[in-house]
Amino acid sequence: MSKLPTPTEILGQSFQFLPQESQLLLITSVLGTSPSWLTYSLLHHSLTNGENVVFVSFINEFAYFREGGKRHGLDLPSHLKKGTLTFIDGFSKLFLPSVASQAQPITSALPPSRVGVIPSRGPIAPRQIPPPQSAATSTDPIKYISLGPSLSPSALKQLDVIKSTLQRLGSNGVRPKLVIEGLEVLLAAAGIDVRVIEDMVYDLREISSTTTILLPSDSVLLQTSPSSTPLELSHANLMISLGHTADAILSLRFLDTGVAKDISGVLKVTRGAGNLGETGGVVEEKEMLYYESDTGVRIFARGSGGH
Amino acid sequence: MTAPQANAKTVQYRRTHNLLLGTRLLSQRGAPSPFTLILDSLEQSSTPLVEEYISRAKLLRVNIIYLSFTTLRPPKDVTKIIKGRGKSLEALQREIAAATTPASGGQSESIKVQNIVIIDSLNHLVSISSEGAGLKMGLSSFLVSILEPSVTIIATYHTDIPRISATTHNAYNPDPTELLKYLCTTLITVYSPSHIFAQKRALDKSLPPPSFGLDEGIEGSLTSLGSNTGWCETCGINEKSRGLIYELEHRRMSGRGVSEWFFLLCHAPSKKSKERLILLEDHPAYNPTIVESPSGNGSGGAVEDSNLTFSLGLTAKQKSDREGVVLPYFDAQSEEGGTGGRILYVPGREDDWDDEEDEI
Amino acid sequence: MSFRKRSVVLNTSGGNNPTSNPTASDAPPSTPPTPPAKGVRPSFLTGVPTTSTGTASLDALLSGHEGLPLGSMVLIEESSTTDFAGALLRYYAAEGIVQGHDVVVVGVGEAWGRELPGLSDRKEDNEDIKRKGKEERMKIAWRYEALGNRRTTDSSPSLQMGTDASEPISLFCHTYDLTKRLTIPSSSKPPTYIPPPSPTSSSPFSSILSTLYPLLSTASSTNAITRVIIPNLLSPLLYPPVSSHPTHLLQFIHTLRSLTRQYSHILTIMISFPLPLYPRTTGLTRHLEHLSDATIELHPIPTFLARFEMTKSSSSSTSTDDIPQGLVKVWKAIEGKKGTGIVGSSSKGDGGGGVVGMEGGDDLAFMLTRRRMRIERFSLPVDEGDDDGGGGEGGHKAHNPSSTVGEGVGGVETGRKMHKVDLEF
Repeated sequence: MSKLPTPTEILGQSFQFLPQESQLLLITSVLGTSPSWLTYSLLHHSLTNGENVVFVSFINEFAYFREGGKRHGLDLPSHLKKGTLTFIDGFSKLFLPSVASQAQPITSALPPSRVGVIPSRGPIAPRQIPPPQSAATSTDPIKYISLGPSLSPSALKQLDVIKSTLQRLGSNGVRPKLVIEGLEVLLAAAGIDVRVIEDMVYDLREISSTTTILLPSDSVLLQTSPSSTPLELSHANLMISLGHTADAILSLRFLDTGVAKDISGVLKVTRGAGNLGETGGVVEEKEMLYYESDTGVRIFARGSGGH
Repeated sequence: MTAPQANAKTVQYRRTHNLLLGTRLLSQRGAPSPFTLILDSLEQSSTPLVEEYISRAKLLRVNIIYLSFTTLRPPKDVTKIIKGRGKSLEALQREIAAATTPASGGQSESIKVQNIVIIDSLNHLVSISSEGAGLKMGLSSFLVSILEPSVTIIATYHTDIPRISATTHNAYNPDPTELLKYLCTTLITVYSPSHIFAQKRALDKSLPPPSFGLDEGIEGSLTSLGSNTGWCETCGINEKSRGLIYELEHRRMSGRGVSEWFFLLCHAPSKKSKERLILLEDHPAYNPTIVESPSGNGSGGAVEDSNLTFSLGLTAKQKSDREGVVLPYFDAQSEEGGTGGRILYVPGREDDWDDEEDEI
Repeated sequence: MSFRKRSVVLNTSGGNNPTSNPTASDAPPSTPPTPPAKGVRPSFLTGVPTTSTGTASLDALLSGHEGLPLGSMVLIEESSTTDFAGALLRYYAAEGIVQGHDVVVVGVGEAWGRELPGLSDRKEDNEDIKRKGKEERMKIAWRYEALGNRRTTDSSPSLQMGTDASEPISLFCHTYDLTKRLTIPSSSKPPTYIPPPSPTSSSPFSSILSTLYPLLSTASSTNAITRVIIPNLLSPLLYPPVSSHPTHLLQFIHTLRSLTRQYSHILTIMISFPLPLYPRTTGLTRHLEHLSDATIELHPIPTFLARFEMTKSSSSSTSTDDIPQGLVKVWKAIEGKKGTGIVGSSSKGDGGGGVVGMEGGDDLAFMLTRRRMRIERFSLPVDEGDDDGGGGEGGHKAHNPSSTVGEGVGGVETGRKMHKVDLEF
């Protein structure tokens, strides 16, 4: 088990997660800096505090987070079983043909066993394929979103599963937390209008406590020159709109001066307009270096060497 | 864009006239500006300024209507919140009209109720109005329709959000941003104090001013440090800073425009005055000359106020002692050549002294 | 075309499979999954099954896995109209065929498959590349002890075994000769070709995907390792203009990504992508890169060779083989450990994988010779005046064919290499 910085270390001592108010954390990253560890840190904080979390990903499957979480001492499957964690998989079947026509081949695709492929010394268990057959049944804790290969207006209703899950979990009066990764897929690959996505995020934020949104922030995706493509403009629009309502913007990027041996990148925490309200405590703005290693992730001030 | 250099000649005049105008506009006293447009960005949000408007309006018992498109946690002192998402301009107009006219009809005619409509994101209004161009109400007619004598609008437009032009967009129509700037009677652009001060410091040294946010040009960086942080020496690290700098352009009915830079302080500058609004040039961090020129009430106010654990000032004796110090070679500059002020230095072992080459 | 059939045995370097059977040459793909499939070995880093890309030096770039983890998708970008990426893809395809994997080629016709490089039967070629690889490792070990050492000790038995070319060599990655053409061995299936979308099709990639689904599900049921190769994605010669629309292209790539996860026990995908048409400064390409597991850019620099040709006359001993033809940039590295997002530690030990290769990092260069392609740490070509370095380089090149690889020679070579490294850095 490795160590991760806590949300308090990242966001500052006085920042509080408000259980009943809609906060927004925007996590941005560039190609090559994976923001997963920030997700694990937040998940760890929420799940160990017994809060309900709805985790939506459009670019990774549950097995990815299961393995990653395990390395950081986060047993996601057990939380999934307990019901505190709900994973909504918007990745595995997003553009696959509808479940009915595809169910048969997928089921047969399951290998009988993969144990033999993995050497006994392998520290990592094989990635398991989520059992697709049971996807539709309610016993599967993982929910799937499938828009189908050709986007129809009715397919957008599939996204309502996030909302209904949040509503179900929040019916006891305590709003769940929400983590969304890969909204850019809906924007770019599915071609959903940015305003529809913004409305969706707004609706979801209304019924959840803290929403965490992970988006790539490469400069080429945020071009706003007149020659920019609609793809870039939409991405910039989504990103900056969210930035205007966020409590904190956590951005990961590479070291500006090049590659260093014991530094993975730079973590910058800036205050968003959402943090200017009267409640919630102050987000402590900072720029720290971080280093991901086998023993976990460490954040440290520039020049402090990190040891 | 960049803040002006301090101008000592005009500052006295502007301190009396423009500051008065600034506070009057902020308090909306006598409704001097029907439509105030606030331009903001990720670097500095308009929220502190809007909250200042709200808190001052609250004192005057003004009816505050908050039209929310993106804000999920609106300020507390608001009379009515209207959620604008997913509604057409006509529906919004009806809701606003209902909220601004007193519910109980005739009898309240005598009591003239003042209304402020606050719009948290004009960007959404712009995109709604551009969706069904031609068929529905335009943006300008919407704004005009809610602007009654008893209503003032304070609306924020996020300048850095790129617009996605609809397919039905009429290419000959003016850009919505320009349209808004044209329609408004007061145009405010807000800036982050730490960014303005950093630019000022650079300009004072004739260095190119730094850029911030997306203009900073750092790959993957959306905002810069110092965004939305305010600037306050007395604020603790855990205290929310409500300060910001803004540039105000007010168009009078006469057509004359007034333009001024203000600093909305986080706290009132001293116990005597409660006014948080000052001219940008009256802030010591922006205008270092203020420290030097004692303006009436005692010397070097800024230095003393700056909460240091040691004193930077000099007593009279220290000053006279300092003047009495004879600097090396000072004597040698006199015409006679002088005898004093020599540097006496005995070379040590570590100096590797060479008699032939080295000399003192 | 003399194709000398080699019985392919699993590389025993993992140390957990002592009973390698030398007669596994025609093992059907439907063998029970207990022994790893041919051409699959556990990652040196995490133990996830990996397969070779067919280019030993590319395998070495993959974040310390020393192979391409099954269930991943690699994007090879090329920033000029040359087709160096095509060579990498052909090696990848050829390796699949030699190992008896299912090979699926998308978009291009069978002509592409006829140009797959044949197995090199030159003894010294094999040794050369291995020794070369070893030197490289030594060099890395010298700089960053961590991973290089392990790898060196791991693979030394097989290296020694390989010195006698008459013995069947068990190889994870074969050596190919671009001057030859691959004859498909009887034990292997010929590649499957998925035709490019019809020019008028409105959803250009759906036909490809609908062909791919059944292929994968049958391959999965027999546990046949499958390689999907998409040369020159979006090339206007193959794909209709509508296919570059994000909703088509990115949906396709997203689906491929989800397929690699769904079939993570058998499937690897390699795509080449022409950057001149879709530069990295566009959001479309960046989305593509975000969706792939690894992004490697080949950036040909013709002046390297031109410069060498100009100065060639005097230093005739140096062959063009050592002249880099361009730079290799790793924009996104395979994750070092699956599911953690860690690329850092392992890739650095590897010297060149991972985020190293970003601006300011260690530069990598590729060399495509008449016979093979390799990726090495980049150093500027030695100047004519710089006789010391040039001589060393040439000398050791001339030294190669006659040398037998043994511990002693290896030591000498290491020393020489160390010297060269000193000059380089």
